[in-house]
Amino acid sequence: MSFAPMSKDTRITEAVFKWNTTAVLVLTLLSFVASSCGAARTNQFKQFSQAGTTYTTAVIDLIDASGSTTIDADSLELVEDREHLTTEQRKRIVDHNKELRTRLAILGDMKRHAHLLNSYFEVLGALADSNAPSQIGSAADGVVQALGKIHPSIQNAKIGEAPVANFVGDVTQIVVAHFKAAALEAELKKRAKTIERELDLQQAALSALAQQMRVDLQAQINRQESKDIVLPFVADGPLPGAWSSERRDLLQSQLSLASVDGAADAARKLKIAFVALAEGRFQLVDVPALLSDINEIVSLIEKVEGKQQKQ
Amino acid sequence: MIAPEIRDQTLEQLDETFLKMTSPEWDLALIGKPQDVLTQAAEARELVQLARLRLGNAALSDIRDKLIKNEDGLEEGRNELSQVLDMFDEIESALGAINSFLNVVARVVSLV
Repeated sequence: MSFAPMSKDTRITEAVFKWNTTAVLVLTLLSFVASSCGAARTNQFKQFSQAGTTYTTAVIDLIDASGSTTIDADSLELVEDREHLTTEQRKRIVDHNKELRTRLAILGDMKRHAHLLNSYFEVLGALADSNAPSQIGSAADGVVQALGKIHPSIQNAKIGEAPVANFVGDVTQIVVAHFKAAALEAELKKRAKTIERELDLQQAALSALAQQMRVDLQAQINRQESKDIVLPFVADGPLPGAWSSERRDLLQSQLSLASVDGAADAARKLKIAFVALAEGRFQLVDVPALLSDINEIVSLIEKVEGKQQKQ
Repeated sequence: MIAPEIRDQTLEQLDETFLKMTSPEWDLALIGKPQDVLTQAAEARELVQLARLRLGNAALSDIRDKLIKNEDGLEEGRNELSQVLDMFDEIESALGAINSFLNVVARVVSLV
């Protein structure tokens, strides 16, 4: 028995076959690795955008609470002073009303702006969270399968030993995922200055609102202490029946103005998170701490609303 | 128009003054005072509050104006991101339509 040596064509075909299969395997492995890194980065965008929408939602409510608090503090002061003011002096109420209307108009603009910022974070999150790679991958799979029914040679097409139909969907998914990640990075690069400037302005806005709320709320607490506790005690005559319980309630349920500082800090922390995202340093472990600061805003609003209901 | 720094410092001082004038200590200090003193104190407090409102509005108005200037960039970003999302939807729809068409063709081809 003798064996004929392999022809040159056969050796070349064999070498090409081995290279194709190896190339496919290497490319597929590299694609999966790249895909994993892309998914982690996309998840950072998703987390950041969620923090952004949580922040803007809280700020919208804070703006409303700020308007109510300002009006209440002003009314309280006018009522207290009215009996000692002359008629001419009382007419200045129209100036107070004018300033309050101006305040509400400014707050209205700020609230509208917060809605815009919220919608930006929402669409950023929608893209980061988009299931498009998987959906488009499945759709591409479907097309190959449908083509295969028309012509078996498409169904049976291979690269090396691997049927094309087996990995068209996966490769499409990876390609779309990369496109999605690239779109997010491009947006980050293009909009970095706008968002940085925005978050700086948010810090300024929140600091100003928080400071004014702090004074308005403290003034209300002061008036309550004076009117219900201190002055009745100092005056001659019997104390009101509920004096002791009112004093206890006032001293124990002092509105925690620490929430005001936390609220003002939320915008600063959101900006730090954004800079970290832009520099590729965003850590998912930082998100709970950021959300906790944003929750201070919610906590402040709840306390203000609770106080307004009691009045 | 006053410089923002002076305005903000003045507002801070007005806030401090207003808190003092609304405190129980202030009310205690006014006990037994004649009516003209009480009137002056009430008017002073009312004017401090009015000044707070005015300067507070000026400060917030400044910030508001800067926020509005930044809106074009935000809207542009929102629109561009929406376009990418729309494009994904269109691709998926197109592939879906192609798939449906090919399935019909496949049935026709198999009948021939």
